[in-house]
Amino acid sequence: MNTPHPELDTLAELAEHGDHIEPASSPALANARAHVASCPTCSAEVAALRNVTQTLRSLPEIPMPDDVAARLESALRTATDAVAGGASVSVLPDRSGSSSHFSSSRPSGSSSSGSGGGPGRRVPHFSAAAAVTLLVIVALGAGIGVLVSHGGGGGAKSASTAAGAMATDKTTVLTSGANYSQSAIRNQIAALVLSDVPQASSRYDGLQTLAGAAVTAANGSQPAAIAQPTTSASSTYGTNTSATAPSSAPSAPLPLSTTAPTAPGGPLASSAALKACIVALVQRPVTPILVDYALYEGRPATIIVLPDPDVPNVLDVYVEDYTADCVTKGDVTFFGTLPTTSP
Amino acid sequence: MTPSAPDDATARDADDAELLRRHLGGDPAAFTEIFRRHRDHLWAVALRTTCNPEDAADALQDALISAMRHADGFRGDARVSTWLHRIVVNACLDRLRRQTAHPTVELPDDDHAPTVARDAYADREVATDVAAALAVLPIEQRAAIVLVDIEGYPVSEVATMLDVPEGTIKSRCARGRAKLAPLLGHLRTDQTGNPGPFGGVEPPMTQPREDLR
Repeated sequence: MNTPHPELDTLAELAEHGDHIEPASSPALANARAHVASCPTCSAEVAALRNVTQTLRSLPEIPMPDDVAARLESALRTATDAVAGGASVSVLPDRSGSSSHFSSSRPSGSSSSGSGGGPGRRVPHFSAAAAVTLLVIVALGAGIGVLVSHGGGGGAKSASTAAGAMATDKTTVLTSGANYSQSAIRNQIAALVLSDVPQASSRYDGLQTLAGAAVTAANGSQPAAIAQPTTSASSTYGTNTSATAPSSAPSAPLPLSTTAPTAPGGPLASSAALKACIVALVQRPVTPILVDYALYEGRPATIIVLPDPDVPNVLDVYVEDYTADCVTKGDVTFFGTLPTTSP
Repeated sequence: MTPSAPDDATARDADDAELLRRHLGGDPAAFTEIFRRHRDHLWAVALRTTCNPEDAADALQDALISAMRHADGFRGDARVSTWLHRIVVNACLDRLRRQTAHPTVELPDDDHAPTVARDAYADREVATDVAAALAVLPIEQRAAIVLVDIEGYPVSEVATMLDVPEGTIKSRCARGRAKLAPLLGHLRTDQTGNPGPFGGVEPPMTQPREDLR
């Protein structure tokens, strides 16, 4: 045996079709087969590869669990029903008539989802001098079932439950690298929740329609909104180098961050600060289900997803100045709501 | 197959292509019937590709809704089941790639609720040695192995499903099998004890790994 060991692909081919190879039709494989016949090492490798395929092909069927089947059938029915109506979205503030890129007040009772905010809850207000990094807070509506809360702040969570807020069991913390844009933030957040929060598809089924781009199974692509900075943000702000806060014009260029955060940062990088911020915002402790340290309109941002303490089945969206800690400095600069159930 | 409503009876008797036509024609039971026919196969593919029942269910839901909404894009040049498998596998790969691109991180000062572990399949759900072995494969190799070696699809069909050349599928399968060989060696009936020229693992690569892009 003087010939070199065949390549792995060749051995795999021999393992699969070695008994049926005609030398005339495939001289290379025939030569490899001759090598294997005289090489104990390659012969063993072919046997191992053949064993793998035989083992895999003899695997038993895996029946779909009944609860999964029921869930999927329910989702198909819901999707069928949702095609006509679609998921309504209410995001505040309405920037169409705003004199500032972010500033707006939360119109009382204007949310189509009915999320008017609880007593004392803050309304969006832009603090231009502090606008370097933004915090986006998304509050998921209550009413999605009682979930077990574990982790810190047991006393606070008890108070939250007593107040009717829905605590979730875990927080998914990400540095997704996403660049949330004004125009797409609702879709981006819905997609992020569905893709990264465990069991989100069943818990927050209503986000499916809103996510839209997240459902890309048919063509194999992934949502650009999550994977990388959005086109709109890049085209609007990509060439700007100003270090000042946003101007009053909605289309005014914003300072563009060179990179998205790769680790939690800013005053809200710690869990304790986040919890205090949430209490300041919604007047009670609520455990977020997702935190994402990313970009908003090209600038470092933090996204927090938590159950809305007042309104079932609704996402509340807040944007907070980065330099604020929600307690001693800063205020909400963006707020919106997203439904988590299909209409 | 699960029990179905009486008004599903007619749909149940039709073939998949006819069911898809009925779905496009507005029959609300038709697509559900397609799902029921193939659900176990689709579940097996999703579970073995994602190695995680939660991800499998989420990916399957994404895929089914997408397929239902885009059924008019089915050209009829493949079986409906193949079309569904393609959508399901790509949904699984999308989900796994997103998770790879967006790894979770820990917060400091953490009396916070715990972050979510992404690759805890072995701790949570490993039921068989094969499942555990599949979990160690790169996702593209795993998908190719699942479709070709487990589901029995021809290499050419899998290449179409995953939109890569046939040679890429062959290579992914070969490399995947080489990685699985030592992990499944104890299941052999003809063990030799010889580690083989590659020691049961891949040889050094001399070309870029287009399958691990």
